[in-house]
Amino acid sequence: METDLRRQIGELVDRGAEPLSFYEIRARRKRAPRPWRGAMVASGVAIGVAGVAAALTLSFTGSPGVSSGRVHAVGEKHATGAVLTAAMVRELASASRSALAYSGYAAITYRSSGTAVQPDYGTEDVTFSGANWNDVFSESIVHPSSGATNTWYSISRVVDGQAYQYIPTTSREPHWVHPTNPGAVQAMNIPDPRTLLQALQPGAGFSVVGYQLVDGVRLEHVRATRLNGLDGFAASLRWALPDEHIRALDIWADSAGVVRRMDISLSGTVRYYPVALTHAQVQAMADNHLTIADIARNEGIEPVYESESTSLTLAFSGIGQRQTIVAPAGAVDIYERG
Amino acid sequence: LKPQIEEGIAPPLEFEAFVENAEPVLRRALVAAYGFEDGRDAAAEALGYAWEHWPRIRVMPNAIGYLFRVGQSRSRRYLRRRPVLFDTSAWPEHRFEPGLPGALAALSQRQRVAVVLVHGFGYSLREVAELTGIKVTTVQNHLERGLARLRVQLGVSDGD
Repeated sequence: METDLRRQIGELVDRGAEPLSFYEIRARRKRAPRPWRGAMVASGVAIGVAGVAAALTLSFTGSPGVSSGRVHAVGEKHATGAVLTAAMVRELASASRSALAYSGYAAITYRSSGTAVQPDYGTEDVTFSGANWNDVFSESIVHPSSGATNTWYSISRVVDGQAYQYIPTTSREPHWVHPTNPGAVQAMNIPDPRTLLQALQPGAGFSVVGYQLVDGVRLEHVRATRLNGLDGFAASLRWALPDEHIRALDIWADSAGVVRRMDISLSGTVRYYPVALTHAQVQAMADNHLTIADIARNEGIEPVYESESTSLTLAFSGIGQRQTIVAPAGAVDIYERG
Repeated sequence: LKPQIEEGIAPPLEFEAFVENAEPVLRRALVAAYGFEDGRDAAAEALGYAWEHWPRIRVMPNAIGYLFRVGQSRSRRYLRRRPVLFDTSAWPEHRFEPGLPGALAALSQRQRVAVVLVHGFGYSLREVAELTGIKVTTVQNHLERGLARLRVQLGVSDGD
């Protein structure tokens, strides 16, 4: 009996122990060699990126710069922040996409405020496992004068290609419905939280802020320093208000380079018309395809420009772990037209 | 990829080049010695040590051999009583001779390192001798005895 023992030994070892990434190597040590620091900062050394190599950076700062009470700064050494190389940012994006390729859980919280908009805040918890999805969305709107809060929520679910929706109601009607019409799954428009990884653009100039413990996991905190190129990303954020631009982008990644958390701040100027529409005007808009701007022009009302801002936090967990998403019992079949 | 102009702390280009060169042989040697998980962990420890002590490591004539011993000493702290494991049970396909992981694990540590590096990956006897800090002839002995034992255990003759 003959066998290709040589090939099998090589494949066995390389398959069982994959090449080490710089993240793993770097995670073993808290400090960069001291002699490197001053020299590198002073000379602005050009770093080539070749093969598996990505620029390695290590620094500690004591300022976590995050608002969550669950985040604690670790390490007390202060060092100049370092800018990640393009290759390293790509490695972050690649590792995150790979880890989240099949399953995970994303908790998104957002809060918008401004002089032109009613303050609102909400959460969107998205669970995904293969082609199955569960999306719990909650939104609260604060009345500007009374301060009263109006909250509503919904659940959208996809199991084995079938759409289900939970509609809160005070009546005795069943809460869960099962739209059976074609396109029902797409119509639910469940957001894929992995699209937020688009923020990992090499041109954003991510720089190391420090290391922190978040829920017991040691994370590297990086911050975007060049925000001009992220307008396209801002426009893709459904939780942001129109015409907002990114003002701050912070990302936390674990030792494997997988993004665990993102904090995004946006602000902008919104144009609105102080018009209280009558029923007839609403009807006219529908019949004649008019906009509020058309109505305001007809009424001689000038637009008002006000500032607005949104803060958004995304936290991934259960990364790569199978998530249980099952069809709800007792869902009533409905067929939606149009 | 275009060179990036960086600010602050970043590894010198020579460290990146060093890791690119040293990582495969260190990882393979330490995996051969201690198994998939613990060997890879030991290699990460050794390269992390190199990162932290680079100004000293970079001038060593046999830096990779030194880091191999760093990996050994780090792993020995917690591997002393742990068995060597090449666990392939979770792998979905069976491309390997089923007895190979067990037969490799049954070799002595030095035989295993010699067989894996020289026979499995084509490193020269001299390279393995420098890495492990033993004589070329000793590496050759470990290799020949290890291969003979492996073939007996597997009941095969190596086709290549």
